Amino acid sequence: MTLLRWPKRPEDRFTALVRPHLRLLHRMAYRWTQHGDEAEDLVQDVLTRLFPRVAELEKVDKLGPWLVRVLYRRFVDLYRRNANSPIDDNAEPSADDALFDQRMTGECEQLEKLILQRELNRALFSIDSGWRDVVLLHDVEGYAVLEVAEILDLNVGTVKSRLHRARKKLRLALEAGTKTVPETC
Amino acid sequence: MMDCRLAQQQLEQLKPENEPGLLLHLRRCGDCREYAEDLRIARLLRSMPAPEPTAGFESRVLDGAIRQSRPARLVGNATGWKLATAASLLLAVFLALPRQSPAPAGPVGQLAETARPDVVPVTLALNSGRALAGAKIRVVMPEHLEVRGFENQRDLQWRTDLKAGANRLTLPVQQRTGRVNDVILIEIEHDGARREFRVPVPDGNGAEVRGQDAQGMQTI
Repeated sequence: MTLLRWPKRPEDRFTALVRPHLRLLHRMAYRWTQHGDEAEDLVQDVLTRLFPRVAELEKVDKLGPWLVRVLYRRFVDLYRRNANSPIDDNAEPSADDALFDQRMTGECEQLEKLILQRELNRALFSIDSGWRDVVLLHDVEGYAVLEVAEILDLNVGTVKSRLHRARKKLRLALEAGTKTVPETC
Repeated sequence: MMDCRLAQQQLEQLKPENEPGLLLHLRRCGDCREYAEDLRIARLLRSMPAPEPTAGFESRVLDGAIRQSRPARLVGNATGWKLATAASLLLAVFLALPRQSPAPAGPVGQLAETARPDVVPVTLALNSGRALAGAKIRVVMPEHLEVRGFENQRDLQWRTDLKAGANRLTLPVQQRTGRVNDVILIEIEHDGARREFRVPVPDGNGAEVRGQDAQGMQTI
């Protein structure tokens, strides 16, 4: 006798699919929102919208980048599309200095690195958001140019051009920024 | 004299201290100084910190998402199914509700163990004259029963391969309020042919029942 397999519950299928990617989604959501609680809310919102589409998710070849793409679009919908509205106080996030400040307790070398990274992060949130998105995905998270193009729905040439311009801006910002290292170092 | 290619190779190696030859080259070469600065920025960006989510993050967001939205149906819907003569389908269905008391007797009853007090495993046996790859199975539950995990979803459809001979399927059924002595509707569709079985469900006292096809003909 052949045992027929009862189809797995949608919640089990959904959990098995997305759970391995949740920390990636949280990290990306944080990169864009610069706020831990908002990052979790954004991930929750995306998952709620995706749960009814579990059958579609099962057919996706590379689910990680696909989920990041969905997350990015939702972030744009929730944060950027409303940023220009006079009656909505949503706006582009500002750099999360607190994350760096609370970690500055280690060795001098580590301290100097954190100070430079805080400056870089500030610089990232001072440049055009389109340039920032490319840097966050390519230079921070390590996605290939082609993947960045797919996630952001841009052509490869635009990604490369934005990367080049953004890096130039960041280099200038790092040269001009205040990089005060404590005297004890 | 170090050239740019060698200088850039050494820069990429991330040594704790640069060689005098490299330092001399950097003093004279603007392109390599720019390259060194780009590398430094790239390394800082690649190790840019991000906070870990707080404890229980995964469970919180998954539970929240699943609670807030449930699928309307398992697969598609039943409209548009072709009504076909089912000459190629030689299927039989019987359903066994486990006896609650006394203990179950016979092979079917032994298979249908009651794992939880509120869940009754209902066993369906589908006897097929030949293998049916990718057959569509549809189960429509009566008002007073539902399949665990598919609450408020009476119409379930999915595809599976039926092997020649006996195929067994156990549904984790739980009781709802509503009238009893209803039927479970089971439809099997394969390659345009369809057969429908109506399986009467007693009030849970453990009777074995046999399915009848839609024309009322006994099929087992």
